[in-house]
Amino acid sequence: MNKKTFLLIISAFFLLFGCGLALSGPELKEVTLAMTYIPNVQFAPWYVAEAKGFFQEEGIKVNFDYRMDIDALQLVGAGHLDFAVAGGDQVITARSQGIPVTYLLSLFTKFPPSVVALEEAGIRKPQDLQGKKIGLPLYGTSLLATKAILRAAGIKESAVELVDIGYTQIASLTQGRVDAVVVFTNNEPQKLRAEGYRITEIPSWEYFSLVGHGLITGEKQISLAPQKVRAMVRATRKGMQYALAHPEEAFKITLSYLPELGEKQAVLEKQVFLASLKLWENEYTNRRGLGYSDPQAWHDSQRLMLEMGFIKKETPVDKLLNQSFLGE
Amino acid sequence: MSGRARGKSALKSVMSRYYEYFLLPVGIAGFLYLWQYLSGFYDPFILPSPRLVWERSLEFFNQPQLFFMHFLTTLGEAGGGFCLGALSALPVSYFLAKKPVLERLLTPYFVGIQAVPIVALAPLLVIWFGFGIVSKVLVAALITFFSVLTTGIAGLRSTDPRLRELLAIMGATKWQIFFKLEFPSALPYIFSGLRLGGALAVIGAVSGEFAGAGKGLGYIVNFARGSFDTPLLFAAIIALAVLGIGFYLLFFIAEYLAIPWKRKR
Amino acid sequence: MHALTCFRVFYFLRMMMTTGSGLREVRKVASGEKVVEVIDLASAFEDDGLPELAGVNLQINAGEIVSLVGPSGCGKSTLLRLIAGVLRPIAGEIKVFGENKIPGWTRLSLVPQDALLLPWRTVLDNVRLPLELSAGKKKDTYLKAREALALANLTGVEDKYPHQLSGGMKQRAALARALVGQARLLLLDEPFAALDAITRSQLHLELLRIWERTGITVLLVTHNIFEAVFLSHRVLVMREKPGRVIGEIRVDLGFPRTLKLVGTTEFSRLVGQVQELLEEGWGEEACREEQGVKVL
Repeated sequence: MNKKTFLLIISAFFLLFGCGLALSGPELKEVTLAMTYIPNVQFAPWYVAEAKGFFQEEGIKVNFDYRMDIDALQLVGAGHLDFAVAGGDQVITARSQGIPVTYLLSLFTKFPPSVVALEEAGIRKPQDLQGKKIGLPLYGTSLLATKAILRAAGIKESAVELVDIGYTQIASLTQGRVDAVVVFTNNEPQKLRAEGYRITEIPSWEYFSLVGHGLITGEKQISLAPQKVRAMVRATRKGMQYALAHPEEAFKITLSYLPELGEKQAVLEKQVFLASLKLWENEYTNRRGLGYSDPQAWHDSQRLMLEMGFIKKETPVDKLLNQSFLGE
Repeated sequence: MSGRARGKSALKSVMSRYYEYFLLPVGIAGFLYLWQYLSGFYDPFILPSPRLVWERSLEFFNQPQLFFMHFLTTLGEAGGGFCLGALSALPVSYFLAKKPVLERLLTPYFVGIQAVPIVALAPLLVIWFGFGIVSKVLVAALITFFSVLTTGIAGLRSTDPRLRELLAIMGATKWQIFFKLEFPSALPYIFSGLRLGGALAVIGAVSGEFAGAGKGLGYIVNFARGSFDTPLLFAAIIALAVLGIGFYLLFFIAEYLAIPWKRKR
Repeated sequence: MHALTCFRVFYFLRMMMTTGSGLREVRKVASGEKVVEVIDLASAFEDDGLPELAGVNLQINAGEIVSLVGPSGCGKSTLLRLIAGVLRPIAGEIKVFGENKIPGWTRLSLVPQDALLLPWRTVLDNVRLPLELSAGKKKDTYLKAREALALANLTGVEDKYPHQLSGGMKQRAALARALVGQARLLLLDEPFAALDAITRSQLHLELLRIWERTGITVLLVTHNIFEAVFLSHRVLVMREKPGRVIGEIRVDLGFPRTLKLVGTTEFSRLVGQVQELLEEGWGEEACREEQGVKVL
């Protein structure tokens, strides 16, 4: 084809493209939510919010970005990403490293890690951990929870053997490589029980009052685009409320976002889903409202992390936590 | 020529002859300056400055032996895995070079295993062989094995058939042909496979550590990520780079000594 | 047998008593001994259904220098390899030193076209390779290698690697390697083809000098008619498709020979005769292009 025809085709393409852009519906602000994990049932509020049009109501369009792990936090702090899902302890740690992220809304009101063992091992109280081999990913949230439990029970770290097993917790426990493993309470324990294992569980939230995963954003975002933040927080909350009110429907919606799950797995994941729902509420949220967390708990937990050597410096709680967007 | 002019030109000639040796430290200094400059544009948790990385390294590895423990762990895993992989690959490559039918039979499996990224295989090996050093060594060995195998087979097949015939006329036995012809002729290929294998062994060791480890540079990377400690992450990365370069230099020197006939003037 | 041995001893002593350059008389071939005998030889079939060689007959006597000329691709190298024992004929007989079996380097040695020195060995190690292979005493191998290098007039480069040598030096080294085992039959496969004219002439003279000193029997394969006539007692002319010896030209120019010979009428006449014989063998078919595969 000659030059003229070629240019004609190219301009036609651009024209179409431009029209497509212009005609793509009403003004919806695009935001990115970094999930920091693979797609799974624990992200139910956001799946429900999208399916039920809550995002659209609030005037935003949310892109679920599964590409990143927890490194997303740095990108949120630098302003390259809008929102992310992260735990309270991770916000505290990030802030101590100078990464300006803020916690907006709490999903898991209790600290999720727990120490799980097979029933035969007889590990029912923290004291029973003395002299045992505990397998966990040796950093971050799981390590924090483990040390908090040991500290509260007065057990010296040298009295137990901490072994890094990455994310092979289920295999390591069932194969007897370790005596106990540290997992998230709503996840692996459900799966183990569903497989027929009898297990004991020592929850860490009894020893560490901090909240678990929630919605976070960067400091700059709050000052530069508060409308976006408000929209995101409100839509997420609506999603949570809806899921609590209509769990069966919410689970169905969630499944549609996880097409790779087979039938047998779907049954397992339902247990995880229901267990996760239970974590969204505690006394504090019953008093104050869904998504709220206690600033005092933040303060105490940060102090504990400092004492245990997980962070080098403290950050004022009003920088860590911003619950102003939760108000009706 | 005046004394001063003579001195000047003498200096010039010295510099022009040895300027290559100045390039390395100058290059490193330039790199550091550039890094320092660029880090000014970014938050310290995105791109920390060299000084910050250095200070954090001193802080984290407050005793030298702490650093060496992690460094030597990864070094040992990579080195041990490399030796295991390379030494087992050489006889297999001889065997397969001699029997093309067997090679054709096995090639689909080799290609299949090689196609899977080692970061996906590593957790599997950790599950099978535990979280100790053994699994990391095996990961490194696996990845090295295939690299040395392919180059070994290519090298052993690359023998000039005319030389083979000449040696036959001289009355050489099969073993003599191997030791005096096939093996030396394959050495350049084998060495390129070894060099590649060395680099891959480091990747394998670190991948194994990612899948589950309590020490080593890969573990430090995981730890730094979990603590959002970008300066420490950089420190670990730099240490890994030094490790990789060390391996490369090792093979470079070994190749220089073992293959004198390929040296360029 | 006894008389033959006496003869050989006599000539050997004569050679020992005279210096190379002082040798003026024509070397008479030791009578009767057939070093190479090829009878009705045929070699494997080519792709087009014709055997490469068919009905080849030739004979080389002790102390002779015989050249084999023919167009490229007519099987000269194949014939050499059959004589050397690395190829088996499909018909006919080859006898080397009267026997059917493979000779080994101490009786027969080869100088290939590209010198084919092992690149990872020094010149000295390359020359002593054949001795190394036959499990002699290690010290002796070095000594003999040096002697061979001296014979080929290549000294001072013992510790160099082949890639550091010129083409002519490489061929001298290959020559030395062929002589190190004191073989009695020397096969040469177009050894000077890749050299420039001046180096080639030097090596021609070198070869003649070596022949004078050692009395070795030589079979030279070449496509260079001038070279063939200059160096040989007899020139055998081959044709191709199928390969066969179609004729022989006796070169009665006497030894020792100098380069001045090349300009003489007699030399030109002989070259013309070889040329004619060659053209007879060409026939309708064009010469097959050198495939590169047949070259040893």
